[in-house]
Amino acid sequence: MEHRSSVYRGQAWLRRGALALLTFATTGWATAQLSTVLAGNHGLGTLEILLLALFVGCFLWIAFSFWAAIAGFVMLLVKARQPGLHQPPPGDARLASRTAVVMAIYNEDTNRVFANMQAIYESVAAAGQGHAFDFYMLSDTTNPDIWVAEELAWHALSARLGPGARVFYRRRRYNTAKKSGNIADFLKRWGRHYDYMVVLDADSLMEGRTLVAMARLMDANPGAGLVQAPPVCINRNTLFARMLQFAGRIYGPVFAAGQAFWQMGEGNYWGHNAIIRTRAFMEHCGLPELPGKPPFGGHIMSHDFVEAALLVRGGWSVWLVPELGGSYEEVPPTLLDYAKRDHRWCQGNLQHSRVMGARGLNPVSRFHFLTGIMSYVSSPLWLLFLGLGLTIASVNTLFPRAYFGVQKQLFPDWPIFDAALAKSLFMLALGFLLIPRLLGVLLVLLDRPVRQSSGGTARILFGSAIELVYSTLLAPAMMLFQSKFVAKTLMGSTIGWGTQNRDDGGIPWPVAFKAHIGHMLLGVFVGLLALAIDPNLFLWLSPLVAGLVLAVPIAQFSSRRDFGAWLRKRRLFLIPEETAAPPVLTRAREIFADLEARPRGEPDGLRRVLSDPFANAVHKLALAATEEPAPDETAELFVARRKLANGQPLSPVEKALLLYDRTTLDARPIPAAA
Amino acid sequence: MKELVRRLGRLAPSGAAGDIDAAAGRWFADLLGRPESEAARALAAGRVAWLMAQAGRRWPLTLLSDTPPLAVTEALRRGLPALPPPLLGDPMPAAELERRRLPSFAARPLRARTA
Repeated sequence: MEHRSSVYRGQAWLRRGALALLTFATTGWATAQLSTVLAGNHGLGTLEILLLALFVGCFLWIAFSFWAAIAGFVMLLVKARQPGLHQPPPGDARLASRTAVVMAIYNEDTNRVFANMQAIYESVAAAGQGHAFDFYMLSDTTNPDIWVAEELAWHALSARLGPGARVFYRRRRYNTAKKSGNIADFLKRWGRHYDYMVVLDADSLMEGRTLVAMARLMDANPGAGLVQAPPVCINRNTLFARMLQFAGRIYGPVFAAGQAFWQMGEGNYWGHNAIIRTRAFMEHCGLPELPGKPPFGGHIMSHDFVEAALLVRGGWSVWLVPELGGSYEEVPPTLLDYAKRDHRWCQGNLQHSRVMGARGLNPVSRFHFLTGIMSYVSSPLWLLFLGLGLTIASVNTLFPRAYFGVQKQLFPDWPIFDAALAKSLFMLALGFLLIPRLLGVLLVLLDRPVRQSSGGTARILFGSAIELVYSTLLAPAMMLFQSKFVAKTLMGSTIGWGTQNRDDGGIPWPVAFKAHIGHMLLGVFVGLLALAIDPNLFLWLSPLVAGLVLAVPIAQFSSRRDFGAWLRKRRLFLIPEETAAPPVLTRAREIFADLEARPRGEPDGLRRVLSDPFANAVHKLALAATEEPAPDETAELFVARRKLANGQPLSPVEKALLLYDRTTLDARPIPAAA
Repeated sequence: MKELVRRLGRLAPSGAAGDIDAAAGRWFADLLGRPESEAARALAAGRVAWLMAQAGRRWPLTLLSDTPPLAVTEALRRGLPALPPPLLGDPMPAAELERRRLPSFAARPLRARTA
């Protein structure tokens, strides 16, 4: 059944058609120019044709991003809103719909996630619509010590918020299908109690007014299945993360508005900081296990794209609404943490190749899958492009062209190289990469409050220039990382599900060295090869060579918190959220500091539950609240009980088993030897 | 203690652990204004609220009494954490992600003839 409005769909295809036309036209023109440059006076050989094919594959994405960013810039300049997405009537009417705010957690820092949840809860209450929202901590935590800490933190939070605070805690016994399974489990248990759910990550923060605005948008658009509020990256201190935050804040809006421009009601889901119509999601977004083994088979890792595609297939619209504001997340603190996350995302996106051909999907959804895949596959394509370019240059040096043919001729066959054309092509590619950034800077400079809270004109320009140099130097190492991830995934290697590092910690030199030694050696090799072929070629490749050769110090220095703090003191790479922290962030920090100052108690979760009557009672309440049955009388349970009785060390799995076992939980006090 | 044993004997004559839990659950459900069908959850929640309110120390003879003082009821309800709504156990059918079938141009295999 079609729930989407037909109002915007004609315009959406018009916009997409215009973008496609501009993309193909500029790629065609650039390819023709490169073909002329490569052909010279001797025509195109096999290597040159291969190079052209790779160029087309890479340039298409650059051109598309460029034109989408231009569209985004215009949309932001004229402050255009999405046609087809009805704005709710103004006013503070009492919300009649019910929304569950769900935070999926997995072995996280307990104080941090509960501080975030409390800050969001209070912010919603302050917005005057607390009655319309319930809050769920959905734990997939496997560490039994953290599990018990979460239960006690949940109870402490309920006590702090006062009687009637609707904050609930549920821990899943088996974390099947990871985060998507966690959300699906919530929906099966309680989904029908709510009209909407807002999905949060462990590092998500959202202002209450934003959550209310999202619920109102859903109320005003009964055909909307999902509204995504693009999160702003905040709260980090390392140089790497602060530069990412700065780039996201300066250039991000242009790209987000560009995406919203062409996606319209067939948008995408970013996995968190989005409001979802529960009925639509439950009907259409149950994810099957893909046949075969991981990384391409098994549970769907990057579930968000697939869920958005299924919602659209089910007739619901999916909107990206950049102007919502009040939506925040954190970025990985260091380059290596970033690369680790990229590995997981790479695997997830490549797995989408199994899904993008599914029956009945909207072409725009298929394009989202392709975009995700290309965001990783483009790295090995660029690598091949560079490798092939170097090969062609080497071949031409090793086997110089004969100036005089076999037949006697008066004039030599001078090799023709159209330097002016090559230069104009280079300038075009550079322009496509730089202009969206410049437009982002321009928008910030035109917005007085944002400009002032980002350090002022001079610092924004200086910061942008440094960030440009930094990201240019970073790009070759990222290209190699991503090429490796693509190759590993294609060869069947999988990456596990780890907890993301959310602390500002530096990378030790040996770790940086180990991670980048290959990059450095490749940089030295490419540099020497280019020098041997032609010093001019070396100059052309110098940013790439420098990025690779300097990969170790770049990774190490950028991971340092003191550099980030030093630059922050000098108001460099400043974002408005650092100048004046959003209320929800300020409150989350206050609560976190308060929680950290409190005594921690017994760290061993099982011991605590068995020795502390209050912890025991809270644990049993958490089990009873979600009606968790006792485990079967298995051999594993028997062994775990015996080990506990004999004071033998228990594995985390055994501890978790005992934490479900009524016999153990009722047999207090704990045996002295345990 | 004797009084508690007497009350338990009246509420759960068998003395079995399950029966005692059920009786205590009913008592807490009544005290906390919950339906008797939620006795198990009420017992778990009531136990937490009881400990939070330090009711054992403040009102030592109240547990399982027929007429608990109003102050106990109020203190327990104040310390009661909210419990999630009832479980629904709804299905969430797995979406069909079969690829689109490409038209088959291959000739149909010949069926082997058997005598």
